[in-house]
Amino acid sequence: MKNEVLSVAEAAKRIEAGAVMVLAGDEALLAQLPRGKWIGGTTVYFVTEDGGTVMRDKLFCTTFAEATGAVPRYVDVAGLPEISKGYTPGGFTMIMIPAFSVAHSNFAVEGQTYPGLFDQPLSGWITGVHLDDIGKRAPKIFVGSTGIGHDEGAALLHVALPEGAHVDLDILNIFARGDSAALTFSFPEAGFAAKTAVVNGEEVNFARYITETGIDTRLPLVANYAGALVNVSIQSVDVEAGEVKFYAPVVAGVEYRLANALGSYAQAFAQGAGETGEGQYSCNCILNYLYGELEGQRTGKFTGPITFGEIAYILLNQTLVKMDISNAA
Amino acid sequence: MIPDANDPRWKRVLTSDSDLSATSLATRILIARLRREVAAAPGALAGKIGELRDFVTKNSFAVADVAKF
Repeated sequence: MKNEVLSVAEAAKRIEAGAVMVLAGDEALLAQLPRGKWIGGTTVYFVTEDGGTVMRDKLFCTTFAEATGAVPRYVDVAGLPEISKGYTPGGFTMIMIPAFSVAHSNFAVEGQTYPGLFDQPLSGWITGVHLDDIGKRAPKIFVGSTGIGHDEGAALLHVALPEGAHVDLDILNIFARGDSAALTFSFPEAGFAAKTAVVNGEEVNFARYITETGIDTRLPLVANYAGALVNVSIQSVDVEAGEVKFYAPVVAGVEYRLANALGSYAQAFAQGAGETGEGQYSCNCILNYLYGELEGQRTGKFTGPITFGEIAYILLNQTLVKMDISNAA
Repeated sequence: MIPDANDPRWKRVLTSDSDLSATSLATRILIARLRREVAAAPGALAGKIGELRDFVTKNSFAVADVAKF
């Protein structure tokens, strides 16, 4: 696996040579690419070897040299539950979904229950736009089989690997759950918004609670999924409407705790990554980029697109997703 | 070798809140969901054991996870 920043011409040449690739960049660049074994998504934020940056003139490209084949595939909203129908035995699947789409919402809420979803590594991200363009331009996904961009549905790349190859898909969450077991949050209903929460066993209006207690909404709520820490980030607090919106859905019945505050995000990523990251696929969250002021800073040895949501089987927030491929013995 | 559905490990892992940090991410996320579903409807346990066992059967990386249940 190789991560590179390439011009459109360089990426096109690679695609035409038959490479299996995932690409990230500005819509105008992705729209110029030839047909081939690739999918792409829009973002202008990246962490490169030089650190976090906004880049509109080049593409961030990951080439899977280990692949023995790949099938790009577009599924519409109705087709989302059939993601696993394209799984290649022994392989893995990359996925991109446009932010603010129905597919984004449906995958976030229902994805865990799609038949066979967990039957192979499923990794990817939610595509975005420059923050100044939110509401003006739609995030897009591109599918190499047609070269066409979509602002709805999902782009999938079902990748085949040689026998014995191993894919390690995991997350790097720099946030730890708050120390106080007495401060817990749960929600009676699942969704991207909540009016009511149960805090320490007492039902409250969550928007009012956040405002009155002065909770730092840059810190995510963190759930413990049998040892995997999964974040839900707070998008907005509307006291008048009594509603809190989230970047990923809260799950009914799950216990959340507020994350502990962090010092330097870049340092936390460097410590979490250790010596790993080089030659691995990764994506990281726009909220980490913003709140952690990652522009010009590195995240250990991990490079990749900055995204509006990360996917490692399920939709994640404020998390670095990482994937490594080991060659067959 | 994948334990049969009557092996006590399946029930134990779905009815406890044990930490499975040493298992694969897929296993952790799936078991977290299955635990919630079993807690909400204990009568569904047998079906959820079947779902977990099917997942392990299809994924060679998950077979090693069973030893950590």
